[in-house]
Amino acid sequence: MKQILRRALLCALAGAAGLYTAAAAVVQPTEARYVADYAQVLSEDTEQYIIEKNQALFSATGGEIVVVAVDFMDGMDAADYAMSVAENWGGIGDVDRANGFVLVYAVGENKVWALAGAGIEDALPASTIEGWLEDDFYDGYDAGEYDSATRAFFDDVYGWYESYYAGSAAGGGQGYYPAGEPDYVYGYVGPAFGLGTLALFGLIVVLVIVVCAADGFRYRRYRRRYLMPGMPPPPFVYRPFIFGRPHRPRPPRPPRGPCPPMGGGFFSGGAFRGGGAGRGGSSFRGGSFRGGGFRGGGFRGGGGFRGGGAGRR
Amino acid sequence: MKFLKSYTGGLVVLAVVIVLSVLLGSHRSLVGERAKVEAQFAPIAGDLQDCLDITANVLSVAERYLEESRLTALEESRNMLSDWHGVSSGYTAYTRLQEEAAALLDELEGCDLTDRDAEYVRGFRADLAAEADTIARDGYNAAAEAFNRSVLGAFPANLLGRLTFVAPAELFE
Repeated sequence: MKQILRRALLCALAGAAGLYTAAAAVVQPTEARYVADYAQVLSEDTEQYIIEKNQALFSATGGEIVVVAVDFMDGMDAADYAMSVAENWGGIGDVDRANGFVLVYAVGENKVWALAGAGIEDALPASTIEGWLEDDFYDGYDAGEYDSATRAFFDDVYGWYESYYAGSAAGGGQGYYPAGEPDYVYGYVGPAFGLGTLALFGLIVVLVIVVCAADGFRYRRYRRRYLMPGMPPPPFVYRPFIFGRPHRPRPPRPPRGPCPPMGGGFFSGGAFRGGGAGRGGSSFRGGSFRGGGFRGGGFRGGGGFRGGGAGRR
Repeated sequence: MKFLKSYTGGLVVLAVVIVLSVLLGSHRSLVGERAKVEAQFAPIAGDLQDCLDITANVLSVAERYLEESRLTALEESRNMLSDWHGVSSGYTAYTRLQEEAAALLDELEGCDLTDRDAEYVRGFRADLAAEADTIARDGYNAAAEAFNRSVLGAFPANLLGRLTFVAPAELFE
């Protein structure tokens, strides 16, 4: 038994390590954020150019153009790699406008992918991106001139942002004010009425039915003893047992003796109020309730990218 | 009527009310949850419309180089997608559209296209591939499967769903 448990634990650990390895396949963002040159193919000038342009773009529109250069994509499809970058880098572009853009390419293998955010994918279709890649990127990429190819393609994309936001990227617009961070998290909401709640509800219903049935039995016995035609008035009033023991009316108090003479004053004797008539049966008024409701939920991740894009897989 | 005034009658009425309210409430809740899942199909519906728009342009270019008889397959698949009802039938129509469009684009690339038309054809191929990629990554199927498994498939929703004829969410596949 111990051996089985040990093997199961080892398998679980191996599986977890495998998962961790898969999750770590996509490179992490750098401090510069807008450019991640893991393949060491971009010059300092180009990197600085991309950063400065992006800073201006972000402040004007919230848009971001991220360039990622790697040696290999670890067996991943170029489109999948680009989506992983878009999803795992903490949001590229404005969350509401979803106007980020990602360019990833591998230097050691023929893989390139450019991906536009969901908010601009209609205005910037894959055919346009493919056209820019064909015109300004692939030639330099195939010749190993990654720096010039990246800069040319970046300029194409940046120019599109400028025209799309009508010159606001150059600072002529009103500026961009990012929305505040939401104070809620989207996550999966399980059923609101789980098995336990329904069981409790069922238990209450059963309890009510049992109480009513038991009380009915008591009332029928009371009726047979005291309420049949010709019988004298019952010695006590019937009440459902949930209201306590049967109420037997108190015998009348004995009359008080003569009081010593007092200077004036008003005296009134006690009055006895007999019990009211018994009510036939017990009535149960159930409160209004709704039938079981079940809330399923859905997970919405962040990122603002739906896929698509263009390139070489 | 005497029965309804009796104690037993009251219990029967109570039981009927409880059962009916549970069934009605469950039906409404489950149908509401399914509607939320189906609302997530809207982005895919938009992508399907984009596919129709792109293939309309494919036909416009193809008319210049190919005979009309070679275009009917794509036209029929476009008509099928325009009239789709239901998620699964939409998938069938979409799959056929993608196949017919790819076949027609292959044929077009074999023709002596002008530079501009060649660029258009490349663009159409890229756009259709992008739409296919976007649709493949959409979370609708995952949401529908999660609803069918975790909500409609779990007790007591599975029982109540069957009693109240709540159908599972259709998958786009």
